[in-house]
Amino acid sequence: MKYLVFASKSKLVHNLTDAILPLVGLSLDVSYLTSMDEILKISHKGKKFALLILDWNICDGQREFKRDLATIAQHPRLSGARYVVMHAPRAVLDRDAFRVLVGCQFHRKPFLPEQLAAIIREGLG
Amino acid sequence: MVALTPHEMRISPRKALKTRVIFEDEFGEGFLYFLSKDISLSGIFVESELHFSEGAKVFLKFSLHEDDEPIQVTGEITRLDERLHARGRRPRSFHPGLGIRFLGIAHHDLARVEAFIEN
Repeated sequence: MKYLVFASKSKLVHNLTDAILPLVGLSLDVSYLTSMDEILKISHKGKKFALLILDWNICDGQREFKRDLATIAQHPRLSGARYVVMHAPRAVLDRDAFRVLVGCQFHRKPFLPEQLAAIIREGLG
Repeated sequence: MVALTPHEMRISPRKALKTRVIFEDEFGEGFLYFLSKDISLSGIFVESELHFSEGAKVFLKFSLHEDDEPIQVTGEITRLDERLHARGRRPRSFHPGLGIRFLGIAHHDLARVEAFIEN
């Protein structure tokens, strides 16, 4: 079983992601969250997450964004994870801020279902 | 705004249309996209092996021609095409997909779809 966090403001995106999971071909336990606050409140106890997928829409406009990313990088269940950020084509990303998440990958939306499944599969190693 | 019933959807003439159909989120950002197979006044059929609940609402964006202003419309999943032969096999020419009924398509967009189908 692989554990991953998928964070997006959009519940519709959660549902669409859930629909493509069978294409990944792995046994997955996905925690769907809607904000940076929810990520930061993840219990320190429990299985370590293998992958954290962030939709840029939860980061946009956040004042303490860099601090929050640094906290994520130190979280005992997230610190060893791989990181993926997905964003709209014209989004203005602060890629420099994401350096604290070592090896963070960036992917532009929208995706073919097979593309998203491949991103998840590759993100899980 | 115009919405046709599932029955009317079945009898609306269709025209082949191969275009990208983007499923957007509640905030207008595209997330997934599919390729369409055909379109009618009542809806659009996209190729997909994914399973969605019938009745699920989706936000679509697609163009009838390259460089056209896109049409944005709310849709409802009405048909999951999983036809099988009696022996449980799929026909060779079978393309799995989703039928999506337009809900509340704007009049000027409906006119564009109509012109596309008739030409």
